[in-house]
Amino acid sequence: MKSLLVINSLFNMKKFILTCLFLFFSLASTAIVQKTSVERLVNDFAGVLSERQVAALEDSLVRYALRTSTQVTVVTVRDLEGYDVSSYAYEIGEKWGVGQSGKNNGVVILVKPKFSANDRGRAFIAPGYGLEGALPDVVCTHIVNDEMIPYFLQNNYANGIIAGAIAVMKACEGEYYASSNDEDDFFRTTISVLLIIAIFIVLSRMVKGDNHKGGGHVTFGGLGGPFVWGSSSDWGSFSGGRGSFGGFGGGHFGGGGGGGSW
Amino acid sequence: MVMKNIKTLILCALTTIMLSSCGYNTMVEKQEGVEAAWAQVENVYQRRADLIPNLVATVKGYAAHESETLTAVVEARAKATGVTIDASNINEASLQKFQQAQDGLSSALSRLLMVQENYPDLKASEQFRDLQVQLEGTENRITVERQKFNDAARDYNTYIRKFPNNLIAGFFSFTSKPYFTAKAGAEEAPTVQF
Repeated sequence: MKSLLVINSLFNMKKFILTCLFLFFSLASTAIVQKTSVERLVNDFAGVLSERQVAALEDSLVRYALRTSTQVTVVTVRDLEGYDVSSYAYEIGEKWGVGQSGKNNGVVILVKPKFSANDRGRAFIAPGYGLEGALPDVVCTHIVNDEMIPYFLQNNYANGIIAGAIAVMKACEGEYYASSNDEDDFFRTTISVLLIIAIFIVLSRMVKGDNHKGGGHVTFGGLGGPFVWGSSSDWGSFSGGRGSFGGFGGGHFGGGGGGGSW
Repeated sequence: MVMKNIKTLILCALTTIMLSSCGYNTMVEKQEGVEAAWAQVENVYQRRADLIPNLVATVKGYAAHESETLTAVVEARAKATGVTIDASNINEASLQKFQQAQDGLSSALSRLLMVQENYPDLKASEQFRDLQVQLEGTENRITVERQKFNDAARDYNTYIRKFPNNLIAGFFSFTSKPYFTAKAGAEEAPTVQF
């Protein structure tokens, strides 16, 4: 009976249209900046960096992400849309899923430049849960105030952002290699590679053997083995179309971090 | 014998499918989610409580005259850490009690932070500034974890109230979880000026 009522109300046209409208507006009015269709680590929405600077910074952040799996993303925005700078940075981190899921090793460096004399510039560094040890609030605040803002005061956004990114990467180093999770990954990758090599050797012998005998097809079904070894998410992060660093991995944030204004 | 085994197997499979399709497993998962979110909430509140002895000691060093404000913070902290909730049977009343105790600590803390205006040395001390940064970060974390708890609770509550899940929920006594409520003024994080 109850389910009939539900179906009834679902087909109630007026309600249906209203629901559609509501969905449309709730999608249209999401305040936080959306990540670009191809995921990037440098997102200069405020347009304070030159094309070359963006490319150079992206390149070094991608290298860092591939080497350590820590994703440091730089975002500049024109407007905080009524948010606190810390909540805005948190929302970006959480909504975009910066960092790897499970490791939560993402960092958001958010800069809202100062556009006029009576405007206020703000910057904030928000680490994911997994990096709160490497980047405590006090360290984030020091990086923003001592490394970044001095450049921002001279209107040199590129140098300030680069200095901040370097400081963040340095701070995250060490912590990440110390985690046992990484050793696990290393172990698993090594085993996978060895297995693939072993299977290739076996297969090539089989092919040779078959050639001698002069008959039969080689079935490659066995190749499926090593690819099942890692969990699908591990391999998924290397798939294309999600940015050259492998795409944001679904890391979570807890609202930590520090920043400053000028 | 073999037939009987097969029958039992099929019965087991059917029960599993029925229970999971009726949402029992999802209910358990969502309930676990709420409990995990609650653990995080307690974590961040504990983090704040852990900062307080240091903060009190620092302020005392510069502003020993403010003993009344300092005592108020220490007392509010004792009260707040005294109220804990067992995650598995969290309800409206216990959450309200928890929130009241923590709100009491929030307002005592904001009074303590206001004291700095009268003591330039305290305000300028690096140790005090670092503590303030940590405190502010902790307040941000509290906001986030409370929000995450509310989201998890809403997700769970919506799920167990839907038909036919409500029948299963009633049968296995899955009860709805309470929410944090923002109280006007009382819940505002102590503002920290740089």
